[in-house]
Amino acid sequence: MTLENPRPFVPRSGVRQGLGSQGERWQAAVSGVMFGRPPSFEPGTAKLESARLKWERPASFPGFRTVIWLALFAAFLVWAWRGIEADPLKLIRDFSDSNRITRQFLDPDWGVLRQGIEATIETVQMAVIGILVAAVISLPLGLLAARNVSHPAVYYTMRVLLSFMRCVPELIWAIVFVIVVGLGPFAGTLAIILGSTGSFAKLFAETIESVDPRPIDAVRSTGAGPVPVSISAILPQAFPLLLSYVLYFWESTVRHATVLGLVGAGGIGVYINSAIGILRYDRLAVYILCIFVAVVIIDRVSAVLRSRLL
Amino acid sequence: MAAIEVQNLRKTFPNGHTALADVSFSIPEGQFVCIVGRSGAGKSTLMRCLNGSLPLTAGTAIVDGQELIGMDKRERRALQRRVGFIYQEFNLVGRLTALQNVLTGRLGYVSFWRSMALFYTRHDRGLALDALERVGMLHKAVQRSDLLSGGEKQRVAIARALAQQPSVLLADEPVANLDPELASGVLEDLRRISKESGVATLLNVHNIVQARQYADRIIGIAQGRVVFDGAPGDFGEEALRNVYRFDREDSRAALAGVLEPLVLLDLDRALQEGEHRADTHERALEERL
Repeated sequence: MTLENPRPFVPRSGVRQGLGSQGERWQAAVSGVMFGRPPSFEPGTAKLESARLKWERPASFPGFRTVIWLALFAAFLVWAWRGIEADPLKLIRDFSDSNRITRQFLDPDWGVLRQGIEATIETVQMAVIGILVAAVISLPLGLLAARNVSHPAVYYTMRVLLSFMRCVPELIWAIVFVIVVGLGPFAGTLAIILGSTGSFAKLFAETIESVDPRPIDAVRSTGAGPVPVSISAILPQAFPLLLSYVLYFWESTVRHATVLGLVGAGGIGVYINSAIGILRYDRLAVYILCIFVAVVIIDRVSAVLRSRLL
Repeated sequence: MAAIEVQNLRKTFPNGHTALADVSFSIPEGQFVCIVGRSGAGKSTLMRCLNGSLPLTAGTAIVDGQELIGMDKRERRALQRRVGFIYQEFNLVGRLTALQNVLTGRLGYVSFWRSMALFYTRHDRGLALDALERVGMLHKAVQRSDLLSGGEKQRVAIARALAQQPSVLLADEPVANLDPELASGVLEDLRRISKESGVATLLNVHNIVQARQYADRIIGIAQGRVVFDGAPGDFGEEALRNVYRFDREDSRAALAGVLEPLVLLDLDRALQEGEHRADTHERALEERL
């Protein structure tokens, strides 16, 4: 049997061939999310013929709806810009004031290096324990907050609970725990646990929702209950992303340790805050350098762990 | 007693689409049955109904002594434990090893706390290793399953179903993703296993030639009804029209492409039985078409 193309391709409008029309590119950028379903066409109708002519055009102006959406987006940007009281001139005009900071920064006080290193190690320790505990707690919470695992009622309850946990900043948790367990790294660690669990569980839940449902189907159809299915079919699939999140949060917690120092909850943050308080930017430079080195090391450790475990 | 007993089965989806209108058949233990039909004929729906993942709308269906209508959650799980299911896309958990995947077939049997700890007993592990050995995949037991080839993956998936120690095997187009060579191998394995352990096996197959080569019996489904049910040798032109061309009047010439391999198959068999001589082969083919 020979296959004959019923209608060989002849460009109708005689326009130049292009890589895809501008309108399509505009639409590709925003469609799907906002436009919902593309229009449907019956084969052989005049409507499809005229649409065909349009699709052949290599370049065209964005459609009416696309323009509306872009305009709305622009308005959104303008709205946000007005909110931040941006004044670029200020940045230039007042830069001279920061000279003193810059000068001190370039001449660090190496005398506090030892102190800085010790405090940074404490911060890393806080982050290790905090993040691990948070990850362990988040695993079941994430499963309960995943649409494809959980009961709808549980799902919505968990989502609201997690939103609340994310809304309370680590700093507030730190204040609470400093009052409860006193000053020091233990309070900070508890704050890290509560502060990250909300974000962790949300990320975990979304990872779990995006795993391939077919192996889950298969394991479920062996007569396994929901918990064994989660452990044998869902978690192995979600594992690489979960590990990435845990490693990233570890790093980011070390970077954000300053916040915990504000209220005396241990780690390098305590020293950073006191250095800022007494305007010793030469010391601040050393502390920041310590965090930088820690972050670089953590980054390398993460890379090794990922390549070994994935 | 029959392993699968289906009477006037009907399945209508919540959106109003009736996938299965009226299906009845009975499959004894150890029989190897191929289901053929066009895409959308309701073959996959039938499979999913029979393993309890989809509720039936009407009729009766008894699988391994369990009435499907009105069973509760526990009965459904107990049934699914005894029904092995094999998928077109293998549906293995890619990051687990072949053995770990096969062990998930034992999950229905292990206790809750053991499954939490992924602790399988020596007995379970032995069964899983036996299953792998039966499909010739023991040597790949500790290989990660996403590194296996298509045919190997399907063999591991079959082993997973075997580890369940099933009384019924359902396979939803198990060879559609495999090349013809691998497909024959997998079908041969399935048939051998079905015969060895007397497991009733029901599989959807797209390729009629394969169905006729391996099946004990062919069931043809069109528009949610059984339009053919008989021995593979009886699946000829009429059955072909009823199953695949019910909605249009095709000339014989248009059917020739599908018919030819079937006729060749008949002739091959006849040849082996010594009815024809090789030189009459071609002439006979012309006559039949």
